[in-house]
Amino acid sequence: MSVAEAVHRVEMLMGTAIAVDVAHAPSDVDVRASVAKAFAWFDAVDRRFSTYKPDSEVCRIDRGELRPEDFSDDMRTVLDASEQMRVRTGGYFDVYANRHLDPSGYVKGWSVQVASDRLLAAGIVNHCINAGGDVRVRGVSDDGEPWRVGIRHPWQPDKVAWVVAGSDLAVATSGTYERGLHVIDPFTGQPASFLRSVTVTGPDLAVADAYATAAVAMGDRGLSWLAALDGYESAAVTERGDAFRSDRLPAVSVTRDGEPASSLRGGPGQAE
Amino acid sequence: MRRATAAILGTVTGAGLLVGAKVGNMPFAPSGAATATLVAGPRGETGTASPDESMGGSASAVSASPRGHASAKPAAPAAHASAPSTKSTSKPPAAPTPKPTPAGPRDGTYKASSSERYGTLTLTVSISGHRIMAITDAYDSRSPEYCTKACPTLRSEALAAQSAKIATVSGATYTSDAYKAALSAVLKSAG
Repeated sequence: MSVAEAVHRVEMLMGTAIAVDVAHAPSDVDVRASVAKAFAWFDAVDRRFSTYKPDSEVCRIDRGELRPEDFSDDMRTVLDASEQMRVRTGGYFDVYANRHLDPSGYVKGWSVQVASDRLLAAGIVNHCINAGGDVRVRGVSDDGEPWRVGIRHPWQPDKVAWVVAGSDLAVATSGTYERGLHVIDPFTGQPASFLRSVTVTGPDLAVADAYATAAVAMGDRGLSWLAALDGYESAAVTERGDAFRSDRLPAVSVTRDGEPASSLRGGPGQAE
Repeated sequence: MRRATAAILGTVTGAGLLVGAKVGNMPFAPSGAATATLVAGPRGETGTASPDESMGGSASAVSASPRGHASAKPAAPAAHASAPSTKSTSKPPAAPTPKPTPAGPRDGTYKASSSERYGTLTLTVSISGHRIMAITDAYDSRSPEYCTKACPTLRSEALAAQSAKIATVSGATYTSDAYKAALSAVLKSAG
């Protein structure tokens, strides 16, 4: 089977880095054109949903300048889905958590999920999209194996705490370990601090992302809530360094060329 | 948990006039001072030792910075400093003439508890022949939901720090710096 060359493209959009990787695409598919369309989509999403651009639709709605009947279809889709997530998370996922409309906690995962669906529809099965740490993979990677996604160690930026693998998998992580990054408990208005990192895997990246954010916002109740999720698996690290994972997390043991990988027990004391 | 164990163990052994325990790499630190208590002395003293005799007084094992990057202080100095006075008060009146301090912990069973934000860890250390013979720990969580509900389904495991062969990294990475760090993890895996 003839295959087109692999494509790897990264751009800074939506206030973060978005990377699209394509491996093993059929040669009759214009991979570069499809990837370009994906980035055009992310750019359009950024312009519509940005909370930093005063003329974005989100900012206009927040200022009360748009009536609901004038919302775009994408906006309705996002706000309806966000409301569903608010209900499903007992109110902990809330696009109004910081008093202003901010659906970015849903939009990032949703936009990646849409882009992945479109690549698949264009015949590009084997791809990986990473938008600021939210990942959607399909098919296989360059080595012909399911995509391996590291889950960042919450104290050591260049290490991973787990590795998950899949051929049709969404992996979303929320956490408090980045400077200036807060998850607000909508019921107290205060930043949550019990869970330092929560990763949720499952079929839909937008849902996984919203679940991960909600669990962080819940604090110590987040662990039991994650344990009860149906269809979505989880891995979490508390602020004090305790690690938890669900039994069905698609984690792979870390080996490299048959050799056990270095498994230094890491904690905050080794950070920085 | 395992690091808290190390911290309290440092306190216990410190209170038992052992050398300072080396406590490193703490993910969190007990907020309250850990106190080691002799609950059962060596055979010659067992009959006379009252249960609440304190050997070490209040020996703070560690200090913590607000972000959890704890720097561990040796437990020994505090324990040594308080040892002479507690020794004289805790010794039964009919005790034999004190011998020179042996080069190891004094025999007995010691208990120490450390309270921190989510519960209290209690260690029991048995020392015989100046050697640690047994250590048991018990964790009493203040937040019942913390484990009673989550642990049966969410498996608790040691936090690993790996360099693995991966295609990409999932994380709460919003900044370009964080992206570069994640990329470095991927590149290391490829190298």
